Formats: sequence, C-alpha cells, structure tokens
Amino acid sequence: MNNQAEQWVATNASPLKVNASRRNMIRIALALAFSGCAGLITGSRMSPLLSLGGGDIEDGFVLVNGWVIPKKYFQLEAK
Amino acid sequence: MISDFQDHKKFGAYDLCVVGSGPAGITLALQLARQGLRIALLEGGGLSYDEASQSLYAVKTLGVDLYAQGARLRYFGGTSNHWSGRCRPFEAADFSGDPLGGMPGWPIAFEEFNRFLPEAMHILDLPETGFSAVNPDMPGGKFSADRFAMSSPTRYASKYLEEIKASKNIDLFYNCNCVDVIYNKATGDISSISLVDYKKQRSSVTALRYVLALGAIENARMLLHSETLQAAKLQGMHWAGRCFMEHLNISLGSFIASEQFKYSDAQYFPSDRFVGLSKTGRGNISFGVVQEVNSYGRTASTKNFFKNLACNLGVSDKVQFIENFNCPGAGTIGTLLEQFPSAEGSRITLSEERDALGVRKAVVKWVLSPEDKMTIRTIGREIAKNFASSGLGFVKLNDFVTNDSLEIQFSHHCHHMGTTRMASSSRWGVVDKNCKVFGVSNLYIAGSSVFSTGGGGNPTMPLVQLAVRLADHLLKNPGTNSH
Repeated sequence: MNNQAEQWVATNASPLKVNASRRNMIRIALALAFSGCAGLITGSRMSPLLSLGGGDIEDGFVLVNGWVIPKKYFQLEAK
Repeated sequence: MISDFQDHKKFGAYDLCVVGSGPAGITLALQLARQGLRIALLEGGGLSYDEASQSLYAVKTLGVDLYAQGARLRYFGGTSNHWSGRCRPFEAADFSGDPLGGMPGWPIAFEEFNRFLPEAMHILDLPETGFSAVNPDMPGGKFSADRFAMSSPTRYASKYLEEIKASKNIDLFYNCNCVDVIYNKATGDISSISLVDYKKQRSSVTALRYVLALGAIENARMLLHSETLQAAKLQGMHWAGRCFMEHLNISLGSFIASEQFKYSDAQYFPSDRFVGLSKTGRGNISFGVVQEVNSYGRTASTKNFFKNLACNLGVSDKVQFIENFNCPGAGTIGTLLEQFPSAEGSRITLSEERDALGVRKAVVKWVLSPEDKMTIRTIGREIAKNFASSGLGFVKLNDFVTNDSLEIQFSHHCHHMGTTRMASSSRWGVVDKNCKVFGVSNLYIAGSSVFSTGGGGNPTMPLVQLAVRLADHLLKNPGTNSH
C-alpha cells in the first residue's frame, strides 16, 4: 500500500500492543489499514468492530463507518 | 438574412420552419440550406443574453430542483453558449435492448445512429483522433476507463452567425417567440406557427414542414400547450412530457489513494459485462483528487489521530514516522449516471399559470425510479470494492449508498432528455424513427427530447448526430403536405 509503511513494518518487528477503547480500535484499525500496517494490532478482540457501525457489505469486504475495506486487513486481529 | 422580428415581420415561402436556434436547430438549418432548401429559423431570444427572454424559461418544480431556468440559455446559439464541450458517443449496447423500467429502447439500430457521428464530430470541432481515456481500465473487468473528447467548445453563435447572415436560403428571425403550433385536423398537418415579439405584436409563419428544436423541456411544453394538437387526441401525444431524463450527479463518497493511483481526475465507465450481470444503467464515475489535500478531512483527521495515539500509547517515536507521511492523495467520487425512462416518474406537465407571452408554464417533476436507485447503489458499492481490491486505495461511501432506507441525494447535469421520445409506434412515444410526430404529417422534433434512452454520456454530440440524420431524411423525402 505504501512503501514508507512497509518499510516501517519491516524495521519494527514487534507488534504494536494496543489497549484502547472500542471506538478507538476502529480508528486504529482503519488508520493502520490505510497505512499498510494492518495485522500489527494484537491482544485485543476485533469483533466490536462489526458492532460499532460496521458489517459485511458483501463477501470479502467489510463496511466500517462507510469505508469499504477488504476483510484481509482484519484477519490477524481476531485473537 | 437576419432580422429582428420586432421590426420586420415579413416572411417568405419556406420549405422548412425551424423553431429554436440551439445546436439542433442551427445544425439542421445549415445542413438543409446548403442543399438549397429555404429555411425560416426562429429564435425567441436575441443575439445575446437578455433577462426578458431568459425569464420565459422559469418553471415550477416538483421533486428535486433541476435549475431549469439557469441550465438553459434562451438566445441565438442556445445552450451551446455555455456548453462545457465534453463529448462521449452512444455505444452499441445502448441500442441492443430495452432499458429497465418497462419502456422500450431505441427503435433504430446503432449502426444507423452512428452513421452520422463523423459529421457531428466535424461540426463540434472534435479531433480526428476520436475519443480517448485519461487513465487505464480499473483491474477486474467491471469498470473500464471512460473515453471521451473535448470540444473547444463549439459556440454555435460565434461559429455560424456570419454563415447564416450570408446565406440566401436562411431567414433568421430573432426576438421571435413561438407561442402556438396550429394543427389542422382535417388535413392532419400543421398549418402555421403563431409568433409574438416582446411588444406583444403577433404574426404567424407557414412552411411545408416544421421542426421544433426548443430543448427537451420546451419541446414538450409547446406540444402540451397547443390546444389544437391536444384537441386532436393523437395517440402518441399521451407521451408528450413523459419519460423526462437527466444524468444523475451523485456524490458517492470520498477516497484515499495509494501510490498506484497517479491521476488527478480518473474517469471510469461500467463495462458491458458488468452492466449485463448487474442489470444497472451506465455512466461516468470520476475520482477527482482534491487539490488542497492537507486541508481535506481524512488526511487531517488521520494525522491528528496519530498525534493523539502517540501521546496515549507512549510510542511517539514510531508514530512520528507515520505522522510524517506524505499522504498520497484524497478526493471525492462523482457520477454522471444514466437515468431510465419512466412512464409514471419524471415528466413535464403544464401549470395553469402563464408566462409574459401567454404560454402556460412548465412544471418539472424530477424523481428517481427504483431502477435508478438500484443503479446508483450497485455502482457505488461495486466500484468501492474494485478500487480497494485493485490496490488503488480505499473508498468511503456516503450513507445513502450503503443504507437502502436513506434518501439518495442527487443533483443535475443540465442534460434534459426524453420528453418527446422516439419509438416504433405511437403506443410508446411521440415521434417515429425519423423524428416525425406520430399522426402529424409535417411536424418533426429535433434535440435530446427524442432520446429513447439517455445513455451514459453527454447529450450534445448525439443530438447533433440526430439533427444531421433528420436533415438527411428531410432532404431525401421532400414535403408533400397541403400548404
């Protein structure tokens, strides 16, 4: 997505631990997804994402606050 | 010859009377005058903008406002005086079947329509290289790059006034308002056109044949206003004013672009395959990058978010790196989408109120049909998914695109079409495949009001194609009526 983001991911191997509210989780997920950093968020459940204005738009995509995001950006967070 | 009707009301003998001097009317008049036919060309306005003339375009509005008074220009050259110049041709698929909504499509073949494209392109000063794209197709096969050409744009008034002045076969009368079309039920033809100037002085003109070229709202208005035509209860006249179409100007949402997206204004068009599978209409979807990215919402809010995140999580060093990114771009998504003809939907009717010259005012009802709404939402969702899956960026759709219970916000493109639609029989339209009004031997209609469907491109070039085609027909089929 973004070479600078990919470079940052490559040089910052340890996952970013996040302790945030549910609403901020959405913002974090989206912001990191846009910057190519999806998958960095661990240790938190992402299911609230779908209950806070999000949901499937169709197979393979999630609608979050109007943003149409491929599900692949969220696959690693649901731990 | 050119005359101010307020000073000169003497008419000659004419093969054809063309009412309206916009792109359709002037194209038609010149094509036939060059072949030796005698033409009366009537313009209600003057040679330049005048408020007294323009105010006669005032309409009443039901539904969403079209800005019908300002969208059109009522003087010599018509709306070409502020035309943007964008040209996109109809495609074979536009003629290959019936549109959604229950109305029939075009009664003529695409090849017949397209035969007049080169001449229309020449008239509109388009490059011989034709129509081209400014960006590649969107990967996935659902959305192609839109292909179009830009006219200079051609201003009919400045381009053709001198030729008309010099023509021995055209008598142009300006300040010459058509206020009635007189139908003779006994002979089945139009006997004259009633005229009035701004001093309320009346006259009339006769010709072998007549063409209304007043624009889509006014063509229907004049047919509906004519008491003699309405009294005749001609079958096709039931359709006058119905099936009004515009192109739908929708703000689908906004987007952020990846570094793969290198275009300041990418323009896409649904592929035939996509339209076939999803049963939508066609049209242009543009991704325009907002010029001042730094002040635009998404970029600013994301950077602010990272600042807050850095403070809250104690990772300011890492987040600082992201915060300093030069965001690759952000912008908005607009459309120029086809609207389907609808028998009971958008239409032109008449008010009991009359304008300063005594003609009943038009009432414009502009609404979305269920098929229009489906097209908007399907195209919005699909192009958002394609944009993301292609790696071009992400799309944020407006709520009304994803939530079917919300009212769709839409606006106009100043493309008025379909109010005197072309059909194979009077059961489905006002004019036949030669643009002749059903049931009237010598009355024709030129302009986008005869469009059976609106397609997904700008209407000026297609209406010029049809004007050239009508000229060809009239030339090959001389008038034989009783006058």
